[in-house]
Amino acid sequence: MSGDQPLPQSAAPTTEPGDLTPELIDTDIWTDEMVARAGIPVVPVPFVTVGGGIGSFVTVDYLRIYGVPAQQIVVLTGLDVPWQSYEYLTRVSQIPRTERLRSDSQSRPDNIWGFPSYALSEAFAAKSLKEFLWPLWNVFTEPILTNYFTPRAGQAFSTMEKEMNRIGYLQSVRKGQVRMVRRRAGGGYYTILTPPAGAAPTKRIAYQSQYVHIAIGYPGLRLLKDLQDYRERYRDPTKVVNAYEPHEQVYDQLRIRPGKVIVRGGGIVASRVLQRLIDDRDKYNLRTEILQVFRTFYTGPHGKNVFNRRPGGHGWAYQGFNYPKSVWGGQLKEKMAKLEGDARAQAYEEMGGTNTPFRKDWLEQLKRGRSQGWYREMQGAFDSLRPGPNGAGVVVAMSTQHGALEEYADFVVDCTGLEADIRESRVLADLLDHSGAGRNPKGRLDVNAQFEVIGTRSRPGRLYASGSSTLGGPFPGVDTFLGLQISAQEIADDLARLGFVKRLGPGRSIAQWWRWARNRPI
Amino acid sequence: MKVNFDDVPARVHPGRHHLVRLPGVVAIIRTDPGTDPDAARDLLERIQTSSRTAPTAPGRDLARQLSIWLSRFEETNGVAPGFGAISASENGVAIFLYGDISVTERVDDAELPPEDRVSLFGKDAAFTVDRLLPWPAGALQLIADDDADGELDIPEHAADVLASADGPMPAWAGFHRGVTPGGGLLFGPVTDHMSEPVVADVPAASGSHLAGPEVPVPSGPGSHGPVPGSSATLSSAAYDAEAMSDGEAMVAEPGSGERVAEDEPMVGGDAADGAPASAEPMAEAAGTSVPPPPAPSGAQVPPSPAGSAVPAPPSQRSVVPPPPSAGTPVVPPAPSAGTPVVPPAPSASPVPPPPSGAPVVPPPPSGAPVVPPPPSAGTPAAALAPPRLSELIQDGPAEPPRAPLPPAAPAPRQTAQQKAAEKAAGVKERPQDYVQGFRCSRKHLNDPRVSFCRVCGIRMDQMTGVLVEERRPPLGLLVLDVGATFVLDDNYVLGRNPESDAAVREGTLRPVRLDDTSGALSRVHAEIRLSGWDVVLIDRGSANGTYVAATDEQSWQRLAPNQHFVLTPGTHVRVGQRTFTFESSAARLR
Repeated sequence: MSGDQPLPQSAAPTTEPGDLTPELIDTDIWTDEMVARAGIPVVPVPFVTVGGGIGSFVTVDYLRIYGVPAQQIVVLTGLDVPWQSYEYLTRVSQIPRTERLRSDSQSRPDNIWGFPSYALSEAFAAKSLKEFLWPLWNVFTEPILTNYFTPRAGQAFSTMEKEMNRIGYLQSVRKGQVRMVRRRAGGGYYTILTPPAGAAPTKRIAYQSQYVHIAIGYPGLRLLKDLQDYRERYRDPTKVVNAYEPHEQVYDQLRIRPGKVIVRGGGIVASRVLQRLIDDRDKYNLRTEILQVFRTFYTGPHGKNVFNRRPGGHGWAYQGFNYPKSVWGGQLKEKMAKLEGDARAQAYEEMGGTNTPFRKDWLEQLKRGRSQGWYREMQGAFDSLRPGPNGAGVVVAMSTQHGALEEYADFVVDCTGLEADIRESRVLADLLDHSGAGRNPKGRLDVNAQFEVIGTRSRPGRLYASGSSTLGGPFPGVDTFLGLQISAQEIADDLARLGFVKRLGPGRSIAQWWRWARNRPI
Repeated sequence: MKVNFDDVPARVHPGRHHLVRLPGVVAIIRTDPGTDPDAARDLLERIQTSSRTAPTAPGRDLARQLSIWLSRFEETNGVAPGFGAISASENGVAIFLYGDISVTERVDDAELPPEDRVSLFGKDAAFTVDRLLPWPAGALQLIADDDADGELDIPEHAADVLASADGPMPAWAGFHRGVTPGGGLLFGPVTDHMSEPVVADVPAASGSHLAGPEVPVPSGPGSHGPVPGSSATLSSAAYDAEAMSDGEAMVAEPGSGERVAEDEPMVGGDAADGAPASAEPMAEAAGTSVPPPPAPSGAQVPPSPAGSAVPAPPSQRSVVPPPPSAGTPVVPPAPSAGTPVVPPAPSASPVPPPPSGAPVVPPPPSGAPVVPPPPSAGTPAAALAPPRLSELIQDGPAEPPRAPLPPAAPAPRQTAQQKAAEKAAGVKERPQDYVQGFRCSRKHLNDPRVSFCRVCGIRMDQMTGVLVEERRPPLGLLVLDVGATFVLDDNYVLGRNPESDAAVREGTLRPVRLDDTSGALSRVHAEIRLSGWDVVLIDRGSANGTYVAATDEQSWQRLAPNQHFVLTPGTHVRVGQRTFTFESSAARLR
């Protein structure tokens, strides 16, 4: 080998083999030749699900139980396990594995039958009579004598792990980032995956499939502008935090010296953060002072008529789950399915809104705080944040019913978890721009009752979506465990009608449940 | 041929540049006078990162990292120092050269025609040489092309002589890991033909012009420039090396290096103390007494190394007058002498790694005069070769170039000024304040490993990850036991009196003074360094140690001195009787 003429190589990356070409990017419906011309390798597979979170997992679980072999399913994801992202968010928002989620006993992502429920499982795993009786008593008397039973986060994750192994979920997983889904001339779809650098010879891989399922969840948080401005302007990540981010340092510092915290928001996360602050206060004998700011302040029960009442008080709105329970199967479900357009948006408005479950423990804590004077609540909206005098703490400028107000605090914990627009997700934006998808009255992806994305059909293929990116459809509650299961069932039934998989009749269902119960592979 | 890169022996040849060996990589970084010491440190950091992320095959990543660094550096700071790296790749080696660095293949059987041997020259490339090669048959010689016509060759036979002494090259003679000064290295398997005493053809061929090859070296600045100069550069190299490579297998002793750099008298710094003191006398001695003697004088210039640090040097020097020239610890002279006499004495002293410090440190004045007279060894050398290098020393005109000598001692002060100037110009100018990351879809820079943007909370998988380099955002904070916090936007030194640290005075590190009445806290106790997106805790050799405990652990774990410990959020750290906690809002899923 003669190395006398070294070839200088530029550091700038040039077009890599198998990358997207302008032709592909600009064309809505791709032909096989176009993809071949770009040099992108094509992997044919019947069913592709994009996302790889709990939405994908539940759908794959249904299909596997219905009888689809693992080789016919591909899960495109960046996650290692389906609950990775969910567990992260619950952990940082103060629901570690030992704490209870706000979810119903029977919505089990690991069990499509919902039986035995979390409460039963917990009872049978109990080590004492009291631990055995308590969950049973709870589900028997809820929500009249007791609060709703809710499972521990750890229980949800460990049972999901068991089911994941049982159905061989990981065989179907392909790691990488999904760039786009486009329709294919002649039916079906191309899903473009960018595998991790170095994992594949080409920059992209195209999965050609008849059916695509999109469950990429919410595109991310949208931190309110005041908070973002403060971060970017003062480069200070310490004093103003969002509850969905790791913020242990706030509790660390409060443990060391007394301080004042402003908590903004009135949702479940706000109640968890308060509980953590007060638990620490009690445990370490601290003198933490808390001011809570609600944008909408409820002084009592509210609702448009006596049949639509929700309890409330001290700023909070109380509701067991994030939807009235009847949306999953009762008359509210029926009613919602018939509503279209503005009427649907209005209905969502009425049953939605920020609320939190009524749980005795932390409500008692707040009551104590109020009477001892270290907890106050008020109505207001943040205008701006700036560092306090000498760089200590933060000064929050607020506008309230009674005019402008400035409050000093050592920390601000923002518990308003706004979700970003679906256009912020590249995959969803591409669907809107190139594949004929539209928006529903809530601005999310418009799906029909079978969770097919309206306007994207590529005969004989179909494109489905579930999870929070479809919120606002004919079925509310899609962004819950049970909602994910219901959409997965609708999708599986639709696929059965198309002949992709056999319907799950009562006989097979019982047989499959029996396999589930004994933890036998499918 | 499947070869484990890290088992391949490497032999160091003397010189004043930095040689680096880390898992999967060997590299050389030029330290010509006037080059930016920060550049070398940055490069070292890059190499280290690549080696750490993919120790088995860092080749591709390294080439990419180096190209990126280089283009950025050249945009802002002008010409970068020459450097070259041989690194392991999936099925061979990757070679990356820039500037006056070459890689040539040495096979000493004639079967392989010369045109088939690897021969790459950094300066022939418009920008860089970047190659993937299968494992070569022979050894690769990675050197700084120091002499004017690029003919300077590494005496591979010196190694052979060594090796032939008793079987394979002794383990201690190889270069296994760390950073050391040198002019180049021979990197290759000890094959049979290499350990054969091919010595026969040595003197004739390359041995000739090797006479004291690169020790005296210096292309430009005159013969002596490099020697003291290198002591200065070495010192910083030693410091960096110590700091960078997990503290293991460090060749150069950090302490001494640092001391030289600060020019601060310290106990036990015999080598260092010797250096400044002897530098000038030595120069004079060399200047006056050396020229007169015959040509071989070139060969003695290298003796400088007789390294005060090397054990028992005096005795050796006095006892063995003839080979003193060879006695110079470093390998090359041996072949120059070519005679069989050489092996015994040098075999002891050549020790490349340990003397690393040595070669550069001029011998005590007393030693200097002694050496020149016995150029007895020189006579054969004179017969041997065209002592091209000696001529420089011999000639009258060679004198003026010695000007670079004086700067050698004050050099550290200069860099301090540069640092200060840099500081004044704004932290932004410091390359180590930049970091590579992914932008979120709203253009905020983030650690490639996080899942949600640290500023706006959007998911990071919205964009295909394209690495961009920007100023590093704060990486978290330290919550001290009294409730005070330090935002980690820079490198810090913690201690009772951190200002006593040289790096603090130079302005490269910022002090965090902790009060501790227990007396268990050292003046300079520990260092917090931002490395990429990681926050690294380093115990600076404190008397009572630095302890860490994970979030929910009760037991403290003591860090080894200079061990690099990457802090994870929630880690508690104890220095003396003080504790603090590291917290970060980086949204890592696990």
